[in-house]
Amino acid sequence: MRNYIIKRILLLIPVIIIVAVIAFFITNLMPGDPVRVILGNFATEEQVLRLEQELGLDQPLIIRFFSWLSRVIRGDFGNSLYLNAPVSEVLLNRIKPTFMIAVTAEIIGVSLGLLLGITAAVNHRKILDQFSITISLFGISIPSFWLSLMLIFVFAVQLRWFPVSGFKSFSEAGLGAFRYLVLPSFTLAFMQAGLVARMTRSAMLDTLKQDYIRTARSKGISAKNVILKHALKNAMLPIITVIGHNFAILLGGTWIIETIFVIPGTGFLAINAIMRRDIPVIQACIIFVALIYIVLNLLVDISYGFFNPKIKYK
Amino acid sequence: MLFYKSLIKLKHPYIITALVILMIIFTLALLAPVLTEYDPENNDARNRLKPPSFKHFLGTDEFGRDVFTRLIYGIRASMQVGFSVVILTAVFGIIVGVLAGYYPSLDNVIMRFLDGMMAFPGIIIAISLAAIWGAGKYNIIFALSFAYFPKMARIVRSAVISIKDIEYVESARAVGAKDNYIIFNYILRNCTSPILVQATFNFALAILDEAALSFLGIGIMPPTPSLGGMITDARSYMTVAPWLIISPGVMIILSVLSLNLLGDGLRDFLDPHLKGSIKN
Amino acid sequence: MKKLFTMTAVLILLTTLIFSLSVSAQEERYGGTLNAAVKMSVAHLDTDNSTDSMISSMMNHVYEGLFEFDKNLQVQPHLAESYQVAEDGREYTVNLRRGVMMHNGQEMNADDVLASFDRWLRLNNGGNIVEPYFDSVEKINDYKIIFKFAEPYAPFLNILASPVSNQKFVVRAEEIIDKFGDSVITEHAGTGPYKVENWIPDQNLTLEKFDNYTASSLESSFFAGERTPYLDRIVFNFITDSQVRVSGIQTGQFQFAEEVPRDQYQIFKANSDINTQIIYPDKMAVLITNNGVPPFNNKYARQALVYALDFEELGYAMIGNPEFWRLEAALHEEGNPWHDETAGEGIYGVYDPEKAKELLAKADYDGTPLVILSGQDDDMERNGAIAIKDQLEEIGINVELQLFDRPTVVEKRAKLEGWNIHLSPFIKTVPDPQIHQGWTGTNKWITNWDSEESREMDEIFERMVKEVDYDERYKIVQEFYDEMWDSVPYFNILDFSRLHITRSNLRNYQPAWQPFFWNTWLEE
Repeated sequence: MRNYIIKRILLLIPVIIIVAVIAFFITNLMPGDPVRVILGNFATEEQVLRLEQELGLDQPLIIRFFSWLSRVIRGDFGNSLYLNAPVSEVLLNRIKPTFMIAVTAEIIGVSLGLLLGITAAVNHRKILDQFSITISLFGISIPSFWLSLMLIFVFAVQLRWFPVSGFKSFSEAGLGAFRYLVLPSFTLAFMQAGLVARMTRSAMLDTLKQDYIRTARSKGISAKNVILKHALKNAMLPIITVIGHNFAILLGGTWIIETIFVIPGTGFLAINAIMRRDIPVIQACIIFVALIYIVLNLLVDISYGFFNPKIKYK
Repeated sequence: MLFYKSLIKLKHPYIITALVILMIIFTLALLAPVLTEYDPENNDARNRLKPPSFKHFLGTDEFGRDVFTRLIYGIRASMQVGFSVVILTAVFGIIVGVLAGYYPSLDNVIMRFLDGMMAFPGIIIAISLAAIWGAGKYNIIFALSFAYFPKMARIVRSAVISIKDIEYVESARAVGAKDNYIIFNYILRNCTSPILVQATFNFALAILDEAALSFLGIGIMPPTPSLGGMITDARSYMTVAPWLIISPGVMIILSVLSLNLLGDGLRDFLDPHLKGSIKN
Repeated sequence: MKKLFTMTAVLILLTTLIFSLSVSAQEERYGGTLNAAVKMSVAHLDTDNSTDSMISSMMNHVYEGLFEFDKNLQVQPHLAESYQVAEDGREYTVNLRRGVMMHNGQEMNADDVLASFDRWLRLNNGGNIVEPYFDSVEKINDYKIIFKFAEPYAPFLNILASPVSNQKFVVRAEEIIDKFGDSVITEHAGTGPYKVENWIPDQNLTLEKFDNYTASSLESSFFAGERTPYLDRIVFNFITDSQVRVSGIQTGQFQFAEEVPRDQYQIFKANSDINTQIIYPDKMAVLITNNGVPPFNNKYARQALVYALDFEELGYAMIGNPEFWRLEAALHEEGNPWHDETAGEGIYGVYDPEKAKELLAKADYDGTPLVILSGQDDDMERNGAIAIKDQLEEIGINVELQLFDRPTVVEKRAKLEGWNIHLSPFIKTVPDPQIHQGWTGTNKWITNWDSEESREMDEIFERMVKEVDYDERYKIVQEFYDEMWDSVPYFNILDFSRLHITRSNLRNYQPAWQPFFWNTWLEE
């Protein structure tokens, strides 16, 4: 087991290097001059040159890459061109809102998805199956930005149940913080629920067809028990995989949702950084998402053993 | 026709519905220039924000342009982007997937690279690339294809690996058939099902992501109509002209929903074994 | 009888109560936190190191000028007690107010002013306009300073108080300037009614009441005169989406929302919780041509553009609701001392596509598509660019529209080639015609204008700067308008007003060109 984990981690090193290369070159090939954005419309050439030197933007690209890489390995992403602060500090300050929204969305999405998926599988080819399929199809077909605008319009502007935008932490607003989480989390959760429900349904259907479940049924174990104990446990592997893969999609979704709801998280930071050409921040945000994906999928791989002891780690 | 009959046999009314909706949408997109007397980019600002009427049956937008006209031209653009992305993704995915699957020496390098690419959610790659290359139809086609092809490559690769050691491929190789010949005549022919299914889902995803990019202002360049762009523009008028934001949203949902349904149907129909495969 | 008496008593009591309540509602009230939603975030809070007017708009609460503009765009002494102009405008003697406390606990004196002025002259764009003419500054004592020029320099006080971008000269504590020098200031000590409490980049700026604020004794009028900090705290929230700003007012989350959609004006007016604030005079939509490359390096092509555009339709497309825009050829609005009714006669607002084509032919325009470069984040700019493309194409001129995010626009626009037309919102409350010199002459700002005509324009400004007599100077300004509408280095399409909204419990808000919240209070 331990050897397997170590081997998996070693295999990640080339992946992480490729991630770093992609992140650096994507961002450094962007057109647009960050210096002029900082200085504003009427800036003079002298002001521009002075700031360019200050920020080290006058160096050739390849030199900047290697000095960047050696710093990034040590966890130093440099300074934000716009916010006058170290990028790692900026990013750390922004993780909390993203984390809260993503986790809330993941919990809602997975619960809803499991519920829909199990309902569908148990009622295979009945009306409840059709109903669940339809809902989960909508989940993966509605553009999240459109859905969030509709939700804002109905639940925030018209009904005033939830705030239109913003974010409050639990330390600031206590339980009131939930009010800020509901709309953005639900928007993200809806797509997640669709994905999980579809996976759950087909995985459950597959296991339900398998011989040992039939045997269990014929032995007279009540249907409920069969489903929960055996079928669900066996369907868990593909479901966990889909959750692991899709958490990254959810994080990608926060880029748009945080922008719409003005939530000061990493996604909002990333989109703002792109609009301003704040290159170090964009790099850190991209690498942040990729790292989460990598770590999560490592955990998914390891958890296979927990749900399916039959798997032997080589 | 055979296909159609089999679908009926499958008792999948959804798929028929999906096909009908897709037909209608395709027709709207194809016949856009014939179906409307208006130009999608021609302003008439003195008649801006007019509610739906006989003259403009989905109303006019903030430049006085006919919303119905922009809608069908918008879906036309979405379809163009979707089709192009599907084709480019398939081409790149097949090339890379076959190389990795057929030549074990390349497999490791290619797979590590694909792993690295797949660590980024597609939309993030697409946003970053679209921001680099600037707004424009061709740029987002390439950005989305670049974001989607690793997934396609992986699917092709595993299909190739599962096929290449099957006896008849082995025997073809034994009688001295060239790699090219084997790849085209044996292997690809047997990978069409997973490729087709993934292509359908890619189509749906491309329409969604194109809308998202245009919504962020890095997609299709205004004043060319695009569904995502129409939604961005409509945001400021949500309370005074709600018809502006409803119709493009519904249009996106309809087309993406039908494509996803079709993908599900194709998967069940073409390859029942694939049922458990993971989308995205 | 007893019953009746009790009832009457209760009635009287109730009436008095209601009456007193309604009266007290009108009275000033101290305390509370104001949440303002402003439309974009800023990079830093140092006005001398940026041209982003958002910074001034917030930091006006923290730093004050020697001179400030009142409601009628008249310059008034503010941190200055009084001033004298001598030697035909070669010498400006300024006496400072005594006992003005700064946020660092010290009293403001001439040293603070001199240190701030030196930095302003070197770094600030307003300072850069003055600098070539400036000679020296002399400290007479702690409260008396003389600014000296080699030649008469008429616009000095107006530029010191300029409301354009971040041009205004403000007084900072000397120790802050010693500490930061030319780099961006991140600690703030001024004389204003509020001090910086907390700044979270991209989220909000919180200002806290300055208890030892020393107010001017003049009557308050916009930025000039007495400032009373009723509010304990002002939080500027950076909210880029206009609909979110609007909804925040509707739900009471914010008490002030900057720049909201004008198309919703009727809805706002119908809502008793919302007060509408229309800014007038406010801004103008200016069309800038790239005069360094063909076709607009030829004045006939530039004139052609004026004839080719239907300004009225542009008004509907760029701004929408006609209550918020008007056609105006002069760079100063009606009622301003520098307004000229006859400006642009015969060319401004004359829609004549045939003449436009003739002029284009005269300019040897070869039909190369014209590139319109525009940002996406400003509605006027973006919608104007789309509408101009449509109008020019209507009369057979090929146009390529390039819409980008702000960084790319700014970079592309700074280049000589690659663009032909660009729109920009200019502030209309320009106090002095000399301000136009900053972007009108040879190679000024982004027009890339360098020709015989541009040098004629330079010459007009050279004369304008030295003329201290109003009537004589006005004649020169008229000459400027004539030259401007003949050689058309850039032109204003129309004037427009922004619409802000306030929650009705925010009292005494004054719709100035930059929002300010001293003298305002929150009703219970």
